[in-house]
Amino acid sequence: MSAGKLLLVEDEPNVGSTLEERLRHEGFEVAWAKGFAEALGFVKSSGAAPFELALLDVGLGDGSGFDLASEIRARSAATAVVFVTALGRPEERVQGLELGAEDYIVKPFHFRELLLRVQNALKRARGIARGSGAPGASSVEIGRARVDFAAFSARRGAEAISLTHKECALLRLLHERRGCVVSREEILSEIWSSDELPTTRTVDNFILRLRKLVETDPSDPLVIRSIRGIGYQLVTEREKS
Amino acid sequence: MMLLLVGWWGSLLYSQAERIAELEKRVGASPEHVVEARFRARRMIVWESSALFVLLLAAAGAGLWMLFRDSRRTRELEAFFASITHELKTPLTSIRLQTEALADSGEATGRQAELLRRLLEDTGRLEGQVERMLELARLEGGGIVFLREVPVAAWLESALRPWREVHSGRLELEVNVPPNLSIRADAAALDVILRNTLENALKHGASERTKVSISAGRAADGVELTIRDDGAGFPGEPRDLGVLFRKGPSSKGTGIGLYLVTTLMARMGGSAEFDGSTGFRTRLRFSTGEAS
Repeated sequence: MSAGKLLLVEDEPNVGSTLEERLRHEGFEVAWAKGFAEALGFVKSSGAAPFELALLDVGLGDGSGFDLASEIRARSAATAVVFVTALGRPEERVQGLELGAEDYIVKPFHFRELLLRVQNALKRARGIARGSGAPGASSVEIGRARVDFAAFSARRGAEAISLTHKECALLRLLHERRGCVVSREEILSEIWSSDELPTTRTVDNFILRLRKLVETDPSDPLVIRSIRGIGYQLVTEREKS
Repeated sequence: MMLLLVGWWGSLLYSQAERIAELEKRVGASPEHVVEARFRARRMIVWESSALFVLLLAAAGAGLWMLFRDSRRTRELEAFFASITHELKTPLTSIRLQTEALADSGEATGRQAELLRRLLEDTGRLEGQVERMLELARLEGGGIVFLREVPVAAWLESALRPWREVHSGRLELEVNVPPNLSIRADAAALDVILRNTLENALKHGASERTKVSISAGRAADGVELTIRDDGAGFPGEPRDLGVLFRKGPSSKGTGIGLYLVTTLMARMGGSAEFDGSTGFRTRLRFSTGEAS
């Protein structure tokens, strides 16, 4: 059984072929694209069996890996993205993570480190995909937004908003446990891996973003309530009544 | 400023010319001569003031142009430096990947395994040099840091993992950090600081096995992280530590590592302090406030 279906995008032949070989050896099913256009072709042709994770180099000969990540998110929202690049400036890392990437790995790296981070990202992505069903089938009303967990998107009136994997996972965790208080520590262990160095403040920042999506007035939250010193509680109309 | 200088100089000359004309009048010079002398003096003042102004303007322009040319050249050199170092990263990745593949295959034993271990160790050293050059170019070009809450224990566990794997035979790591301690820092900058400190410990440590202790705790105005090794310490002037390109008497390094530690800590709103009297100790102070 395959350890996961991966798209590897790397334009440097020695790095690409060694990575492909080693990932295959670890049990992954790997499609290696040597550029932007070829990678997009793989994504388009993957159809009903999308890639679980894409390992993207940023400086590609025929385009940017950042743009490719946006294209992949638009076409295959369930595919988790991990950047593997020589661009290691703080502003570049932030740009990559703001695009919704699960991780950002700077070259040169240890293969074991890469493998561990790929496995962690896949574990999280599978957790998010678990029970999502087909896009549209899993949509729920949360506050003033209709959220489609399988499509990683939300709709607020006529406005369509795409969600990152983590935003989607956090919202789903709170929705699955609606009416109950979920502690920050529990959220951290469910959604983040310790390698990402998250803190309880990381959770608070994500909650702020989700409140902007679901609350009528984010400064006076009625849907995602803070329970002082403990965590958060999602309250739907049923719990309110 | 330049206009004020020329104006002051012109008005001084003008008042002197007026005083001379007044004196000439008093000693009985003809009124026509006094008028003619005053006209000549004013004309001279206008010409000299204008010439001085143009001269000063030209000098200031030349100075500015040289400053601009130097700054552009510095920027170009920094960009070139950054790009060439960046280009080194890809082949280094390839070398590391392939060497690791050979080492992990289990096919190399005995002498071959030892050679592969050395190759990996030297690849790591080369990676460290490239990272130092890249980070130096970035910081000298005004590079920024992104501060966020970093849990110290989780960061150390992740950052030390490769060191424990690659240098398990030569490096003994002892970590003593409270579980819920966080600092406000840039995680990538922390990795650079840790790498430079550990590489120094290996370079100047005992030939057989170097022991490095890492401890952290709350201090009066923030959090203190101390990295201490049991190596030879630093025999030179303590004030030279952390100064760019300044090395100890026996150091083979580039004189960049500790400068990066000092600069990155300052950018994160903290400070670094070194003590090489017994072994080598790096004390990092993280402020709880905002970075500068």
